[in-house]
Amino acid sequence: MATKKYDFDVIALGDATLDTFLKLEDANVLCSINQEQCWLCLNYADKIPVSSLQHSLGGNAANLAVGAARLGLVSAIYTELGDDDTGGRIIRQFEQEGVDLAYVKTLRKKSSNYSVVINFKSQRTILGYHQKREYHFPKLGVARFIYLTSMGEGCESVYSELLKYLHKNGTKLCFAPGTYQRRSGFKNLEPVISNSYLFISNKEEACSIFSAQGGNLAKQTGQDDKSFMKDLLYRIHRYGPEVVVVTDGPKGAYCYDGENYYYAPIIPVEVVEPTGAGDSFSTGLIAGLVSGKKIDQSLVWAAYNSTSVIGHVGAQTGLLNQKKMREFHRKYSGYKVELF
Amino acid sequence: MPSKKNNPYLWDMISIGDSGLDVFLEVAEAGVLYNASADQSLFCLSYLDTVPVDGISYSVAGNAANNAVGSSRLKMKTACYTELGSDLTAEKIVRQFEKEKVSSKFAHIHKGSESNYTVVINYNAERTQLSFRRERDYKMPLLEPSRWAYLTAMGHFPAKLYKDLYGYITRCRTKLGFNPGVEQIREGLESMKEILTRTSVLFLNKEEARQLFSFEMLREVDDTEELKALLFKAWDFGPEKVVITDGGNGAYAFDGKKYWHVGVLPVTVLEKTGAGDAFATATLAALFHGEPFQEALVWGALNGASVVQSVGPQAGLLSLTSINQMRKKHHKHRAREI
Repeated sequence: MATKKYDFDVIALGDATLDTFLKLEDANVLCSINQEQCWLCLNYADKIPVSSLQHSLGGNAANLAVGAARLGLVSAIYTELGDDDTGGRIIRQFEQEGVDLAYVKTLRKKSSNYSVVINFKSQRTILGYHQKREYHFPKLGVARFIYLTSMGEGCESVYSELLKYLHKNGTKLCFAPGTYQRRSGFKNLEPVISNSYLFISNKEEACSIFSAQGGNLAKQTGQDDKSFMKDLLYRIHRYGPEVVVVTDGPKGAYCYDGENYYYAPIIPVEVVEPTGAGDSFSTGLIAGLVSGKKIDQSLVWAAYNSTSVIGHVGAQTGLLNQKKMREFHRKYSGYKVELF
Repeated sequence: MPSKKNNPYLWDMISIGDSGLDVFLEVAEAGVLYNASADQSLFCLSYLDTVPVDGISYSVAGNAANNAVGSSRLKMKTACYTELGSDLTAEKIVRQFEKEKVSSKFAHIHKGSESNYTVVINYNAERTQLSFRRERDYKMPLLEPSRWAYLTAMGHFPAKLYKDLYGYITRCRTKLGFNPGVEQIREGLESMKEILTRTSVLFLNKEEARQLFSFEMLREVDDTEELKALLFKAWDFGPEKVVITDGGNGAYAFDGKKYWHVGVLPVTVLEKTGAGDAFATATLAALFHGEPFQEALVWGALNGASVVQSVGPQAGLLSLTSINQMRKKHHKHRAREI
């Protein structure tokens, strides 16, 4: 889809990880008498049978890069991996999904991020390995959009180079801050936020980022959701992003582009597993914008994509391709994004 | 090494059994609770939480894969018959075999299924393993003649395989090293009686030997005496030689004439996975290279000592050159008659 001027439609910046989902039948949960602390307990120094096993690629940036590629966008990812088994599996997944690997860095004698998700009686206990990284902003080709999302400690070092890159190439930045970035303080984030074209986050995260900046972000008594959201969107918009999107789980998503307030309700479907709802929403939105659609129409794609993802296990299984997007369009032709 | 002239054997070793991938996680934020009334220890992780992992490493694993890689490093022309899924784990195993010059021509791929995968949680130098295994029916493939075969753990052990293997080793005059896995031992002695009569070297650890031969001494005896009795009992079922390993106490063996003991080498243990496989592998390789049994046991001890000094069952497997070097360094290490 990328025209001559652009090498890529979107480049995602952020961490990729591999999650191994294990299901155990043979375990115990022990709790302190007041139930304040519980432990998942396994027979020590023993071999415990696993009844099912599944590996899946994860990380917000990976979800976006894969989702964009499925929707026909020319998509790449900047991420750092180790030269181990997990790194190999992650690269293989990207290859299969058609994500460009030019900016995937494999570091020698380093490990990739990896999690074992132990599922016992439908509850999850996670063993997570997170490698500390030194991030270096790579020499990126020209992209329409950069999607900056969840990275670990040390990611501030890419911000100044990133801003230079945006100015030089006229690239639009989409920013969906991850846990570490949110905690790294507003001062670090402000230059990135003010240079963003699109800022996207869920309601709780948005409140936690911007409440530190004075002003009461708590909902006033008697204030309805929509007027609260208008306040929040407007405030974030004042920091610089042209378009602000705040998602509110099962209540839907809200958006402000400096002119109109949009509300994208959710499509009522059975939720199988909510992981990846936010990432797939961003993916649909960006794909819409790349295709030249207006904001409200792009929000429709976003809603379709996340509706599909929450109907499947894992963050990537349900990501739509172009054909399935058209099917959704027919199936939910009555779906509308409203002004509010 | 046996002469190459008129050699009817296409292989020096064919390893038969499971292979898989192990991922080793170092965990510090955990605890162990001891249930005194059940004499049971429980490994406990903070529930519904994300527990940090401090270190991670990966290894191709599975007893047959360990033996195949180890044998190849010790200059035996090796192939492995193993049942694999059709996933990245299987690709990784096949690639590792290629790198280690192990032929995977007898490996069998099951379309659309997962390979064995084990998460090994290392806490306080003890391992708690979360093990994913597919039950697979091993069907003896058409194996080319080999001097040695090594039969080891499989998730499920069909009686037909024993029968077919019996036919093969009889026909090709193949020597068999046999190191039964948990499932085979659980199925009991009766199922393996026939193959034991054709076994050249049987490998067991002490607990397995006790379980397999439902062994209990009638009176209080010391360890050595019990092990001698166990060795004799096992030998009586037909194997030419029997080796029983006993962790830090070393290994005990009987060759029909003499009882032997070989101690472990004084090394710092980092991670124990694969010590038994390393021992058996080097013992058989030594016999293949024409070493006497007494010396073969020392090779076993050297290989075992090397493997426990690194993480995973294969990283420390010795090459022929390095086992010779290590032998020189530990030239006083001997198997002694008991």
